[in-house]
Amino acid sequence: MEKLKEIIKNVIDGIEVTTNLFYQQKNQEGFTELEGIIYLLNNMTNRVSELELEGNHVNIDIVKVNQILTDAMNALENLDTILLSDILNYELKEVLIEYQDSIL
Amino acid sequence: MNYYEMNLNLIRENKPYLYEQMQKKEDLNNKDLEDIYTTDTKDGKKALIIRKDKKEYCLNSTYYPEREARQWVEQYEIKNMNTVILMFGLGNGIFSREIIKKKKESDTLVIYEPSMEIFYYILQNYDITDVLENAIIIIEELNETELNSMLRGLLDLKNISSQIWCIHPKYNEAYKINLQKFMKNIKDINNHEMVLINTQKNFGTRYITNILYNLRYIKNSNLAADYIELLNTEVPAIVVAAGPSLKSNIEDLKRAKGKSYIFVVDRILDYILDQGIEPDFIVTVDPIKPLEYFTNRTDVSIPLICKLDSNWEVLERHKGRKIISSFDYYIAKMYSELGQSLVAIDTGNSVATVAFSTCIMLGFKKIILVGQDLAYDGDFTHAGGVAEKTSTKEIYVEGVDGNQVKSRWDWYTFLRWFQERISENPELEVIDAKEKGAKIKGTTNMSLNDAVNKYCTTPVDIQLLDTLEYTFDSSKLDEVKTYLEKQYNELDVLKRKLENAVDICSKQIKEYSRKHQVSNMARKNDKKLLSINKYIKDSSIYLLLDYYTSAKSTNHLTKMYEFTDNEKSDTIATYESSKDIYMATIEAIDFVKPLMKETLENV
Repeated sequence: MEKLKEIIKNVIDGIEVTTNLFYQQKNQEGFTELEGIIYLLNNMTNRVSELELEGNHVNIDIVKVNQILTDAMNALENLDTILLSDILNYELKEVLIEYQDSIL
Repeated sequence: MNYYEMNLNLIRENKPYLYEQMQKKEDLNNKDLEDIYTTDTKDGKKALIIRKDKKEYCLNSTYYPEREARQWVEQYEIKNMNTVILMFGLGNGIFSREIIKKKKESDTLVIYEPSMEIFYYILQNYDITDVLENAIIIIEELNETELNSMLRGLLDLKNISSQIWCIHPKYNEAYKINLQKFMKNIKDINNHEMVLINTQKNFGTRYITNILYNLRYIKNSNLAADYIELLNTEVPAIVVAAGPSLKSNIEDLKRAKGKSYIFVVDRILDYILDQGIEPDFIVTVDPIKPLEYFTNRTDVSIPLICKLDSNWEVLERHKGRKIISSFDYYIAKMYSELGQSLVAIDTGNSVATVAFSTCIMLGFKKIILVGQDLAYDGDFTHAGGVAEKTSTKEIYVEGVDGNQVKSRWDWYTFLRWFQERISENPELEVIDAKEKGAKIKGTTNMSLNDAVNKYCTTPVDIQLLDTLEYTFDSSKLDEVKTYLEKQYNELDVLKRKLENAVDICSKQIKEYSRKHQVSNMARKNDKKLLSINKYIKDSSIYLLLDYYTSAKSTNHLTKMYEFTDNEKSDTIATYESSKDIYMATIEAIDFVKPLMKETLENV
């Protein structure tokens, strides 16, 4: 669980850095940072699966997260970095913060 | 009152040229977009969306547009003074509003909007009165001709390197080509300004020597504007430059004599005279010009269009009437205080551009350019078989025949200058009389033979020009002398104040280095410095001294406008720079004083 908390914190920090870069039109750097978030999100979902298999209930709405990520992917495919940033910042980050607050 | 009326009222009051252009345009809603609309955002604000070239661009965040704008503006530090901020894209004003909040009163925001349709839509659907009030607005196809001259007025030695260039998000995608043109234009303007600044840096003392020596000629001089009533501006003005194509135009130029007004640049004067053509005006500008680039003759009395900071050796060799066409600040102030109204012209960077601008100011409706090749003819750069060697970068530009021709970077800047002036003066007809060379957009390309046949048909009375009375009669000349004497006497007073200022700066540096808090003494010293600075600024002789000071103190002047995050070291650095500038100004006084004494004996 501690490991998941740490991953989530890193994702939240990563989102702030990445979206800030996109809002400032520093797209190249933003995409570099985005790769890091994708990696961390992958780790996060893997860790959630592991915890669930171990019988721990993880209070993250994975369905909602997947929907948000789908929207984010659509924005990314359209190269709409602002919409992508909005989704990461105000949708995904909120879900993650909610989860963080629930386990504190 | 609806948004459009509110916004338009403000434009009418604060931006007269833009307003005038909006009135002239038949349809402001110039459709370059497939769609434009506003959508509500999650926080109840508005986001602007456009559809262009089958793609949709959301110009604001549809979640929190103001928050997005705040994060966007964080990347820009506007620490220095008098910063010029150039922004591509107006959008719905949210982004520019953040710049306006961040900038200081002394900073200037210039917003360039490439789409008239967006501009018109915003005027109708948003209250942007605050943006209109606090920024210069340039709209492509409406008032973009204002951009260049306005920027030239804003940029100087002290702030050219602290400019901020920014782009409204998504405009770089939606208006990629417009942005490329815009950035190229801005870079060209910056290069042009750097040339002027470097000229001033390099020739600072020479400007002073020229001005003070040439003041002796004002008794037999006129302002160029004095000629307006005398000239028949229905006949063409012919501006003769020194390009290689001039050689093939000599016979036609002879035919034009007496049926046009011929303005010849200094460099080609001897060549023209050797061909048996006496021009009506000669034009010179450069502060340092080898005499062989003027004339080897010692009896030339054709009226000379010049500046008072033109090379004194040229004015001395010339024996006729001097016609002052453009001014530096010092001379402009002098003439103004002596009751002469001045007409400013955009001089460009060459003698031919000064000649051209003077012709526009004089009211000519047709200008024929001869020898304005702005390109190589093989290895030749000038008429008379001259192949000048230079380190100026070579580039290729479109030729009059549609092919690429070899040119130079400095000629390219002149080319752009001509094109801008021509687009600013749509009623002016400009004929480019050459068969090869760089194409000057906006001109009609025809042979000089055809141009002379068509336009040079009415005789002009050149003798009439000799009847013009000089600008200053004897009583006015007494006023000039009194004006200069007052300045001469002021020099010693100024020097004492500057020495005091140097002393105060030294004390302040010691004070701030030792202490962390500002003492009463330090505050009093600051007030004294402010008072001295005001005295210096109000002094009319300072405009002349500034040539010397600017040349000597470039680094200090630039540094004074730059700030770090360490207030104490910024303060000490400011006093150190100020001290150096005061000392440079004292040196300037020592340089100017003997020259001014000589001037008074000769005026």
